[in-house]
Amino acid sequence: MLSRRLFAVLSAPTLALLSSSAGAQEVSEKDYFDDLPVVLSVSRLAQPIKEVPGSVTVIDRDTIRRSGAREVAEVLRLVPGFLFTSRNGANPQASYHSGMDVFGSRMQVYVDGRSLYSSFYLGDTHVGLRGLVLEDIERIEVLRGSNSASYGANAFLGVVNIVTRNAADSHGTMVSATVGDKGIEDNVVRHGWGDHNASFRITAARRKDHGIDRLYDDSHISRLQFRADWLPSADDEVMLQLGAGETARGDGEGLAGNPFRTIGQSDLYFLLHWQRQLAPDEKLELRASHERESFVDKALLTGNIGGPVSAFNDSSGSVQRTELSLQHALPLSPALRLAWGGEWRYELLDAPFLYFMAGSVSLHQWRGFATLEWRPHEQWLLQASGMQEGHSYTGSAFSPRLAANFHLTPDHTLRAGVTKSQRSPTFYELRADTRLFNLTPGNFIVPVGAQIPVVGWLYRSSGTVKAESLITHELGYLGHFREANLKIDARAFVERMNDRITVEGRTVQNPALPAFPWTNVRDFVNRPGPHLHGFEYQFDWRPLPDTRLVLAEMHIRSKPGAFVDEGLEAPTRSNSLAWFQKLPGNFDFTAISTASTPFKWAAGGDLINTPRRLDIRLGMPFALGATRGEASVTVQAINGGHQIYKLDQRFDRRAFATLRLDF
Amino acid sequence: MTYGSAWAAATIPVWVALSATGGAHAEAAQALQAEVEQALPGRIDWRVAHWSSFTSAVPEPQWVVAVGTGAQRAMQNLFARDTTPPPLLSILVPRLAFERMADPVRLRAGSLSAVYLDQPPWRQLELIRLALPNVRKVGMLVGAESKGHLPALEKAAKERGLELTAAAVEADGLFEALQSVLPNADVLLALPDPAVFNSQTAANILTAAYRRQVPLLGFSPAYVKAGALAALYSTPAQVGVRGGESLRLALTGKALPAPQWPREFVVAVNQDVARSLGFALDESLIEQQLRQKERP
Repeated sequence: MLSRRLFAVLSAPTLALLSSSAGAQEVSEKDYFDDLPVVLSVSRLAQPIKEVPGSVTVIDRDTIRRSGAREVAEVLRLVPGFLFTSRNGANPQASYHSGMDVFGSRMQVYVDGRSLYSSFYLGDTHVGLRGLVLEDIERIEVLRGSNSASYGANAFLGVVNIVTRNAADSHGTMVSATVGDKGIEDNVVRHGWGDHNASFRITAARRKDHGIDRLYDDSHISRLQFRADWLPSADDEVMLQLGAGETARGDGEGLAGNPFRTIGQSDLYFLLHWQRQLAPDEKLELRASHERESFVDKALLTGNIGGPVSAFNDSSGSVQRTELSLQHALPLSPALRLAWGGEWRYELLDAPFLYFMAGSVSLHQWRGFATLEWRPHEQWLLQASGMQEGHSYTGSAFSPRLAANFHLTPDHTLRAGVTKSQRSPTFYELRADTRLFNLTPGNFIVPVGAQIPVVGWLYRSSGTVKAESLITHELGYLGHFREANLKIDARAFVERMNDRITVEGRTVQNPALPAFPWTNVRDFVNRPGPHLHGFEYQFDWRPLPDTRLVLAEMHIRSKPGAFVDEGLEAPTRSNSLAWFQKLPGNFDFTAISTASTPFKWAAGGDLINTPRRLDIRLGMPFALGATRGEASVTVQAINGGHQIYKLDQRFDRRAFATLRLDF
Repeated sequence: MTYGSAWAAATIPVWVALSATGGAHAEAAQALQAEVEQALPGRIDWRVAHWSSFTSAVPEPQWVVAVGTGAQRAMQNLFARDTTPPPLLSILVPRLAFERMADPVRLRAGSLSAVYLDQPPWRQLELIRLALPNVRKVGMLVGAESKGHLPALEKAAKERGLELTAAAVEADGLFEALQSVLPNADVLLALPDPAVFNSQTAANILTAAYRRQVPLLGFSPAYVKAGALAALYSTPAQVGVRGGESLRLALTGKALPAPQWPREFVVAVNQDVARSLGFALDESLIEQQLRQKERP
């Protein structure tokens, strides 16, 4: 070998070869014959939608940008079955099938696998959703339906999976500024850098507006986020995220029992995700996260019981959450795949005035799950999954799911599934004890520091409430008509909710003042819930290369369980129609129209016939040398305003302009 | 003089210089020999070896076949001082590499030709049209080397109503180039250029494109294995056969044909990637349709 190399080096042609190819990288046949590592192995490929055991709507980054939305909740209007409202301008919320909760406590939201579900108060996802920076989102995948068997408790009515952009996809600097009506003022600054092995991104964003006219509902959201993606080897991927944020939201109705106030929230989180490919079709994932969230919500309530009384209703407090999870997916045989894993979660909460205690409350949750996917024939895909969960307070529960996908042809799939899901009661539903103490000196009935009679005991949970459950039967169809460029996704469903957690007022005797018992002390109890049935569909059609029309529609009937009102919590019909058009001159035009028949949101909503809301957006992408950018104008509710949540609340027309530069 | 050497004297001496003694180069050489042997059995006195074994220009062969870039360079250099060098057929060379090395005088005189390894631009774009009929915007990442392919690709794209977007990969600017090209591309067409597509960058490019749901069309089977949606390429044997045809014609007295593209090709599809991206592709059907387009 040595002699041959020596010979080769000494021969004249080699010298010529060396001198000409040493500097520049020139193409040779080597480029064609060199081997490459397997990059997109089966375990790294996303499951095609037709093989998912449920109905999924995916909204990509371009659609989000072109929708003109400033909030994730607004983007979700494009998903069949999703309803949108704003309890006030600072609390926009989207919810699947039913207006039964305005805080998103029956929906599960994951951001890169980290749950946004906050168990602090009544359980919610809406505050966390508001904190997301749309510019950092790669896509939103919405599982329409319930799936506690795969996602655990609270994956009840809809699971929203948000995937943020890989740091490798956002190198460079981006700045964006939005100004508009109603005090709209949004800014994003982002910088990304890195090399072949590791990429980093830091994003700072804030979002401000005055909300809805005539309401005390200004909001101001600020966030700082960091993401690192590291490839330590060809088989490993590591992602690290750090984030911090603050929101200030106006709330209250200016009433003695619900005064105007600003609710402050701040949070910090850390997320580490490690994925290792053990074989081309086998992978192991580990995820660890920790977050801290604190709230400041103090309201001075006033009243009169033989003279003025006043009290702080202090819903402030903090919560910490730690989660560890592991998942392993592997083939058992060519036709059989298994995914199994477990999760452990610990929560610690401090809110002395919500729980009438000086110390903290904590809970542990653990989960074990397995999904078996069997392909007995190329047209059939059968999936069985189950999750066993344990909860410090409510004990253990099992959520099963069975689904079958049948491919009539490669482009047409029928699906059927049955599943049982659950929503765990929150800390507050289990342990609430919120009392009011008189702060006003001089009242002859209630001394300072004493509990106010009559309305002075707001919540007292008996702790007997159990998890809500939802049994879903569904049939689905997914079709792709390639010649017509049309995709159809339809789902028919029967969702039977049981043990809905609701409040019930009780009267508690007052030994000190028997004439003034505490009335309407609210406890949480289970009641039969509504039975929902109906169907929803989405047509995603590209009739011309520059035209895309997306129609999403839901028809639903709600049969009330315990309350007559439950029948009104879902509109009989709701729809959204989005038109994305590329215009000559490279303009991007979008029109999104949404409408629903009358329905009312729970927790104080009025029966409202939501008129059609039409949003339009015109964007103009441009390039100035190496700088790319986009200028856009969006008008929301261009067709006028409409009532939202309450009869006397109007979402008025608002316009804003955005300039975005990437360099 | 033995009987054997007398017979040998009546044969045509042909050198086959290999850039490497095994693998693709050997495969192409064997296919070329087989093709010629079939037409002219036993007429050729083959001398097949690594180019470094050909140390002297004498005794001069009648024909020289160079398999690969290294061999072409070496054979040109070997006969550089020769005023009437034997005709040289270079096979299994990328067009850009061939054109860079080729002596224009010999090229004009018809004593130098090639069968390229790469695919003609029209074939690449026709494949896109057949396999991905909804695609209108074809994105490309180009370096200093692959920029050379742009004019021909632009022309072929225009004829097919396709729009080309090329992002130049400057030093260390791969991610920026990806970010500028992927949003404007329905498909990413890979062009061989070691500064852009190499074993280190392939992972970054494939994953970034996949995250944006933009399929990649590669130029070798390795790309299909690695995660490209499909690849269009000619196997070394297909190139060798084409080379054998040219040589056979030349040996029977006709002129050496001008440099040409391989006629036969393969369309390979990564079915896992296709399924995941929502494409339904039948590789043999596409291959057949593509062939019909070229030779109706």
